[in-house]
Amino acid sequence: MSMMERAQGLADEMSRLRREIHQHPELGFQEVKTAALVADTLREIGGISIRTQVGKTGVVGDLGTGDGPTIGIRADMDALPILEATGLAYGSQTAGTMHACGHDAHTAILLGVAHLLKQEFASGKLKGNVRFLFQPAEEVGGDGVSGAPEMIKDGAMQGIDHVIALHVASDLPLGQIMLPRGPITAASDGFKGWVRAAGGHGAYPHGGGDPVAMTASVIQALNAIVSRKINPMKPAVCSIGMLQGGAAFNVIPHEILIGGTLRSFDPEVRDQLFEEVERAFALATALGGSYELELKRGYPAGINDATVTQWMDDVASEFLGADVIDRHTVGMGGEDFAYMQQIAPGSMMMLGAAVGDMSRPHHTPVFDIDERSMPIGAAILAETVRRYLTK
Amino acid sequence: MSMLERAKQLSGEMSRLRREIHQHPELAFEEVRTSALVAETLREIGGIDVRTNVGITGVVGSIGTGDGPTIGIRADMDALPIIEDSGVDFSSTTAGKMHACGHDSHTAILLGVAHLLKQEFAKGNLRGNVRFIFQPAEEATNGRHQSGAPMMMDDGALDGVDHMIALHVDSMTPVGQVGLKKGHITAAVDSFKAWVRGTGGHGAAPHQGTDPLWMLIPIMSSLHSIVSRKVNPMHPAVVSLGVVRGGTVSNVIPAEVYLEGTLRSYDPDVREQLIREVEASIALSRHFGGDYTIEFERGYPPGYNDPTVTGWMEQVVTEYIGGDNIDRTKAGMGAEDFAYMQQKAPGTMLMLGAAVGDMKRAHHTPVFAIDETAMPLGAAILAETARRFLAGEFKGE
Repeated sequence: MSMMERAQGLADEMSRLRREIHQHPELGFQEVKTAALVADTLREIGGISIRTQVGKTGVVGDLGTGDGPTIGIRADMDALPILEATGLAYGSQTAGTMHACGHDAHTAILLGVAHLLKQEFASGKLKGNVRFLFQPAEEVGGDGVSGAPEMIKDGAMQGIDHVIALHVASDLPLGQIMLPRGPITAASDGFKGWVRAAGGHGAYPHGGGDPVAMTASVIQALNAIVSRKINPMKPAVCSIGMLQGGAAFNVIPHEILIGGTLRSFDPEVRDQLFEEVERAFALATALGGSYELELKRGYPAGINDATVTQWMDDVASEFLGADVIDRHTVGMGGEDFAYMQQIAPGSMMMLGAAVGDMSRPHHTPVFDIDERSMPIGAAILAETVRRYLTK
Repeated sequence: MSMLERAKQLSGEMSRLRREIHQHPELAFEEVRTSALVAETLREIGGIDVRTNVGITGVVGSIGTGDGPTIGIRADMDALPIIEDSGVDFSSTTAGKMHACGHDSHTAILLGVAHLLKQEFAKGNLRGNVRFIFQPAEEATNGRHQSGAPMMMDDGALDGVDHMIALHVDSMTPVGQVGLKKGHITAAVDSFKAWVRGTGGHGAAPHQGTDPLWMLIPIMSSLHSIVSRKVNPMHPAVVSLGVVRGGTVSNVIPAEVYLEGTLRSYDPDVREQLIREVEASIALSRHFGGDYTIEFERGYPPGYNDPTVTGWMEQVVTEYIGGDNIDRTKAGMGAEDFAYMQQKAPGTMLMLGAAVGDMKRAHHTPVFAIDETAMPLGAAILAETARRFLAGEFKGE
């Protein structure tokens, strides 16, 4: 029986696990129930060495012959602070928290993969090891440390030669996947800056400095970084997401807060964005005010290794056909799997899981996936590992 | 003897031709002397059907068996309005005109290729045809806003051509290295001219009229935000202003300000988006009580190196200089009118390293210069790619 057929046999079990997790969503680094369910399930499968509380609430499962190469498979487990409005019978039971990005499915799929690979190792044809990486807190990037670096700090990636993962995509039809080589997700950094001046009475602007007028120049400069300073061949984004200041109509405030996000693929462009943002804020000084700037490095760019991507591409082509694989579409989103790809060359694919009834974007209250995508995803991950470890 | 060895035997002849052309540079659509030299040389080689005055001053040479596929090889011939200061002893004898982009060497290389392929056809191993396309006016357009490539195509220069190949020397890359990228290599280039109008008036009484200079502030801010705020960051694009002109004296608010700019893109949708967004930016003048006129001129399409033909040439280049000396990523927002030919016949353009030692001889500058030892390598790559194509030696990609 092919890996795909065997994965189809596990469809109900993966669905049961996913719905259990979906009903009990937990935010980043609070995945206590989810981690317990993962650890319990791995124990039931058997033969898997389990470590819990890796990277706070993460779980690591090891399976293998001890010698030979090691491949890691990663699933993230955290939910989002969103009030679910899908109307599903197994909707969130925690008001205000929802699995609105499909991490429930990732976790259930990886448990399915553990089932499948346990059976493979029992056949005695594999040499090497597989590590199941159940990661907390993928969504907290940009504001504190996320789950992947926390797990790495606790040794989760030690001895791993390659790492693979998937992400469901609610806007990609079932049976299709996206699997580009090279950069797939952007380096994702943040800035928060305060433009300051004396402020004062609105009727007497000449009495002090006006940070609002200075902010107008700063915004112009920020918006021109990409169009005027960055090599047009290198994708980059500088977007302002926060603009706060002032409390009364007749008081010139003494401070305006400008916050934003920076995206790039190229490491030099990444550094250049930081320099140019600083230069834009420094206009405040030139205009007689002052500024304070906090630059925060977030996720690095995620790079799909050419070799590992080809392995997955071969498997997916056999299961789904070569023409349903999109090898080109890349965006400026960020993913903390990129940290793991920095340590071990690896690849992430986007798994088509559109329900098809209406638009159900990620990170919205109506997000939902077609669960029939789950055995497809599990089969591709498990078969890629099986071929890699086959003697 | 390999094609490369045979091309090296022609290096003296190619150098002589290149220097002859270099000393007598001619601007776009004025390549009379150059095209006469080309036609004469092709006739000397013999066995080549020569057509002149194709696309005004272009020359087309055809050689082949009549049946089978046809591959075109293109060289451009025009010089630039630059006063030469390169210091070479075969410098321009026409003050104010200079071959400062290497088109002299492209022409000489293609004449060398004609020599080489004439010999190949004489062996009787090839089936098919080669079209030598000596193009005028790559650097400028005529009164109909057309450069040399589309003018030649209007005159049928590419009729029946299945694939096109070409090269461009690169004065900032060492000899023995090349750029050869699959996919997009040059950008679509469009331009605009805009007039922003108000009433103008006395500088001491701005409130009595409308001021087009003031309207420029939001307009320029908006123009410079198109790429950063409106275009998908995964798609390369540029909007740059090149001319801002308005006013005559300090105390008169002018009635009109004139702007010119260039638009660059690869993606056809982005190309249309840039045109729409530029007009929307200029139209901000109406919001401030002014008015505007705008004219767009569509220029070269994006240059796209066909993956199959590029793969063929890459096999040849790899044998001659090794795969490590190929830059497979080189692309930019520059423009090349070879792109028109690539639209009609899938093809590829090679960037041929030709730097002299000091690495200070940038294209389009008075000190531009190339190392002529690059020429036989370029000729051999073009000739061998054509030979293998017509001998049926390329398998798939």
